[in-house]
Amino acid sequence: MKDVKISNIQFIFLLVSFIFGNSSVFTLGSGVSQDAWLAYILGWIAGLIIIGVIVYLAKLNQSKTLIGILTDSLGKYLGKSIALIYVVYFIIKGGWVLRTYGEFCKGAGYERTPLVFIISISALVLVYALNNGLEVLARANELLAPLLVTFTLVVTVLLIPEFTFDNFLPVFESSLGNILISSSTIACFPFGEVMVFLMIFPYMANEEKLVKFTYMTTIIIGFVIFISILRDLLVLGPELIDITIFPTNIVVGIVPSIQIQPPLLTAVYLIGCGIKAYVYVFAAITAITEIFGFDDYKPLVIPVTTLNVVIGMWIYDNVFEMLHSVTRNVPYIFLIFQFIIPVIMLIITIVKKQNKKQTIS
Amino acid sequence: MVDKKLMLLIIILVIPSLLLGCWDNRDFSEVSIVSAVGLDLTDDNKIIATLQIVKPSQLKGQQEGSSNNERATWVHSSKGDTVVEALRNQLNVVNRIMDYSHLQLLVIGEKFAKESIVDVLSSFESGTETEKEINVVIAKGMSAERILRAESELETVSVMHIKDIIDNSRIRATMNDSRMMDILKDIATPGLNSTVSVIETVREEPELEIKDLRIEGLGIFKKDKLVGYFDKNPTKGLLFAINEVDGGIIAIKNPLNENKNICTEILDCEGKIKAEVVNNEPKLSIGVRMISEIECQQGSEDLTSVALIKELEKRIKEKVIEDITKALNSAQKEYKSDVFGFGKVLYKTNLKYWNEVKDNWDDIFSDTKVNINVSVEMKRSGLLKRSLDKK
Repeated sequence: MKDVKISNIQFIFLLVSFIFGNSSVFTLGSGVSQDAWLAYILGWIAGLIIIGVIVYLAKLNQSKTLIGILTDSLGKYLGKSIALIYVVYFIIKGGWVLRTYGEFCKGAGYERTPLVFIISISALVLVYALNNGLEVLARANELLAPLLVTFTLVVTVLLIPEFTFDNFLPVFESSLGNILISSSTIACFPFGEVMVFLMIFPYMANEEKLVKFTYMTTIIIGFVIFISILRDLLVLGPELIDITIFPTNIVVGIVPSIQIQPPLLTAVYLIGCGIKAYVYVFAAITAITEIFGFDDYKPLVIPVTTLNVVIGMWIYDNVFEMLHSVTRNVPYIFLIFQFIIPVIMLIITIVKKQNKKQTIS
Repeated sequence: MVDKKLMLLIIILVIPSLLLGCWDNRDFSEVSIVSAVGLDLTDDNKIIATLQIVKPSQLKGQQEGSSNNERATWVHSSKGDTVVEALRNQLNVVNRIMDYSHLQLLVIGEKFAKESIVDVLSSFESGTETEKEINVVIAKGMSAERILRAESELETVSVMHIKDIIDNSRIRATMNDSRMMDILKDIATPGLNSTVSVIETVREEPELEIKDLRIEGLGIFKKDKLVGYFDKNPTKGLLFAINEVDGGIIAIKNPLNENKNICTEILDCEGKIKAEVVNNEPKLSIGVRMISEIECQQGSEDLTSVALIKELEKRIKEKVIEDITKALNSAQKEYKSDVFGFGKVLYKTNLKYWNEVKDNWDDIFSDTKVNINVSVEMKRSGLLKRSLDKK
């Protein structure tokens, strides 16, 4: 499988779809009313720091996946057992992405369609794409990712007449503590999730440029998400942002004259969440393959995707739990995987490199 | 051969994914389309929901161009403890499941509005079916049901008639278009009380028609409760101040002949609410800039000299100030409700001061003098300089 290579532009678009993914289903930074944009910017900056650790780690360990890095720096047994925990993390995250998409569909239109049906149908597409490999998906995504960005920007432009610019004011009504809590969740989700790309970086054709590309993409897509948060805030106002479950859905429905945007929005989320779930499942499968030294990951596709669907169904009892977890508890647990372990890896790698240099000299 | 089987499999798998939305599919012929909802509160706190349902047969008739005098809508009321329950109870009588996606108008009875408007609106806001841009009106001094039963001679679906009148409100300058979302936003904004347009009867008839209704004026709210009404003139004044006017007629006396009138049209009107804090005292003012033209004139005097145009501008200005003062007086003295949004401006610009006064803002607002600055510019007079001389 190592001979699969994705080009620069394919990598950029993959990262765009991944970060955009299910993050816009929720209003990032809600809970601090009109200071949401401020919380977002802080979270964005913190996210860039987390991503900095991840790309630096990848740069020092070129052509090695996360599993390779773990086993090299922690030894075979400890490295592989932590790698297994990562596999669980990827599968849970993948299931969670499917669940958020399904929950959005149910909330926004398919009221009577059973959740399991929506999720499994999406998973079927996932299985098909996984069987075809990363390259096929990356190429398909070249067409799909621009749609995500274009849709967001077009809707924003169409809504300019509805903007109320004093919705920003008064700045800093919520306390700094609340803003920081809100921004720390944004740092974990969506930016911290880029960690999973440690499994993807080795497939890049131009791996030496990964730092530049990752940063460029994160800044561009971060800006697009920023625009969509501003738009929601300017159209709905601070209070409605805080009380609506899927604000974007309402905002998009306000666009005058044409009435096709809500279905389009669902389609856009299908693309975003589909790509995101794909990346997670792909990471989980390739990780398992590498840990146990299998030749081919294809036999794993159906079992792991099925596991994803099941976890997606089990992970929350209701939509309230899901919303609560996104904005409050779970991101901190994920921070261990996204930041703390990579930092430890990074330190070990640097120390090892220096030892090597010393022994050579 | 294998490829063909694979293709078949893919097609079988893809088709269900395209048909997700058909899970609870309801054909057009199986739903009844609701054009308007009216909500009333009874004395024992029950909610009466009235629906105006479009008759499907009548819709068909319209398409073929036939004109029969039968009513195109069917109106029925049902009772319940909550709004949603009352609406659902309609199914005890109506055979087809209601479809609210074409809802045009929400009429709220006076008694209900006095209780709480948020309860009503949030139950509509929460539903995924309704558009968030439906207009809301208050039935002044009568039940919402009667408005829905009023017939129109111009439109087959009578509520479309009312809806179109509301849509023209920006050039009539006598009411808001009061979209549901805007009302909710206003209620949630600190320091701003919301206003909702009003419908009342002019002539009491057993069978009301739209022409017996007056769709004009605003209901004044305090938080989410209706406290009173503005009639035509104060409404105009309020709308001038909060920049909700794009057009409208102002009639003034002809300066050369006091028995005759001159009608002027507003071409552009910009209102601004200002509030600042000086020495810990709020300083409130209203600024209005207006551009107008002479639309028609009684009497044949030539009004186009510079001095006379100045005089006309002065008279319009007095008229506008009069309207705004009326609105201010009744908002400050009668209802003690800050519908202008001075408090909102303070909240946005001076949060510290606002936190001190927010609990008794309505009282402070009522006792504070408001400066009104109006500037009027008379730009043109259509194609004529003056009326025809009668010789």
